[in-house]
Amino acid sequence: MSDWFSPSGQQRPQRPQRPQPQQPPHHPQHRPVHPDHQVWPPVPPTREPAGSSTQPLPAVPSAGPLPSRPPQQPPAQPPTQPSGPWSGPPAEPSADAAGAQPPKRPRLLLQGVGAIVALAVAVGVPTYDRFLLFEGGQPDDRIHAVAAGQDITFEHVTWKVSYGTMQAPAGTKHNTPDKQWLKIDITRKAVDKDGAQLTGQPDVLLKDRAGRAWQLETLEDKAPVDHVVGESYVTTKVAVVPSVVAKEVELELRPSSYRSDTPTKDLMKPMGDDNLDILRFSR
Amino acid sequence: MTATDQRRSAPPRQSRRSSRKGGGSKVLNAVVGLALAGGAIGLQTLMLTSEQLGAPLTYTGAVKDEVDTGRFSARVDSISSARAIDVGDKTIEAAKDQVFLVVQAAATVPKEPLHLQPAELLTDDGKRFAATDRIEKAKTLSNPWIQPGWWSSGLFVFEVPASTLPGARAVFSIPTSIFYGEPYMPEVEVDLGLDDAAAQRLFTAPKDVYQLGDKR
Repeated sequence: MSDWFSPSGQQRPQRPQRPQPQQPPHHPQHRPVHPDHQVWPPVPPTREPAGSSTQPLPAVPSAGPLPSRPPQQPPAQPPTQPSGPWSGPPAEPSADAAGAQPPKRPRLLLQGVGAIVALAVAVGVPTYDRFLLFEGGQPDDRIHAVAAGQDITFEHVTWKVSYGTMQAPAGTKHNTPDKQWLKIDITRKAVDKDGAQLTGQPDVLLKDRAGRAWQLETLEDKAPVDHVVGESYVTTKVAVVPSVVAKEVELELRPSSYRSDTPTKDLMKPMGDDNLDILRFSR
Repeated sequence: MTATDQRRSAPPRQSRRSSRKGGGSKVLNAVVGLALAGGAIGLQTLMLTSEQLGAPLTYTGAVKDEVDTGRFSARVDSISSARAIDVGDKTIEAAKDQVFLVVQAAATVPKEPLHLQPAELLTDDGKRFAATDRIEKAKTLSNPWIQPGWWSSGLFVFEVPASTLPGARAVFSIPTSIFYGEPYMPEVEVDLGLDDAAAQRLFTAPKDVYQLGDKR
């Protein structure tokens, strides 16, 4: 340990050293100043050579070859190293570089996988985010199934549906045998005062088991403007469906949340609920 | 020189033992870096404009093809031209140097009933003509519900000059919600198959009166 700072030490796993063999590590005229001492004028930061540490600095393999080194020798020729005091790389880092050779291929693989994953994330995250936005814009409906021939009381109004068929009216293009005309009576009855105010026309569609939907047109609507509690009003609607599904199509009725006692100034206000409830009347 | 630079140049040094200096790989790195940066900047020029991003998804076909978009299918059955159109209670004359192009079409949907929007005529040089408003919408294919299970047929009428006819295409689209406009709406673009001769024939020899609807 006595010749620790001598430049000829081969085993030094040391940070780069400026080749200053004539400069001793401890300057006699510069008293070493401890870091917790404050002196004036401030000691220049370079006062302490890197080698003045009493602890050997370990080589950092991941930092790669050390800077300010003369042209490196291939690691396969260690015997040519001791040509000069500081010309060759120390034995330890070159051994590290040789040891870094095998993991080169896995690292390349890792980089490739990382690039693919990064690309997938970069494309997938905005897509998923927009999908969530899209889904939030159309929440799922709440479907209330109604047994065949039964009625259902939903939010102050009792609804009942009866299915029937009819002949194709004269003058229509939909008069071929592969199409069936349906005549559907929708009966509504307000069960209380609130129900009498819910006079809005419901949205109706006919749906088959495969989810295909058909439009209905109103033939006759007997409901007056002002509804009376307990009174039944019948709306007759007609539709054309393919004959093969004429026996299975079911009416889906979405009650309106419009109230006839809404003040005029509130008519344009957005309604609180989204009308997500659907009454499905079985055949 | 930073430690990172050292690491970059380290592998080539080990693979190519003959080149003792890193100068060659430095130039190569610079060239590769410039090429990557140039490529990244060049890719920006391929960025779609907002108009292109909002454009519908176009499905193309020819006359008598059933063009399916997933939301609806459309088909052009025939095309004809007329100097005037009889809508039942009156006869509408085409303007001077213009002709009525009557596109007989049909449409169906797989699931949800919907209405077609009035068709458009897309000319060879990219101009778009709306279906004429002199024929009321109720007499066109925009009027009936397009429903699953069968094809609904009808027609669209364009009032156009002769120069628009060669290479013209009919475009059918469906409406979207006013409040929640959907991106990537589908549309059907049918090439009417009009070369110069056919277009000339349509323009110079139109029917005098096209009967539209029943007389009442």
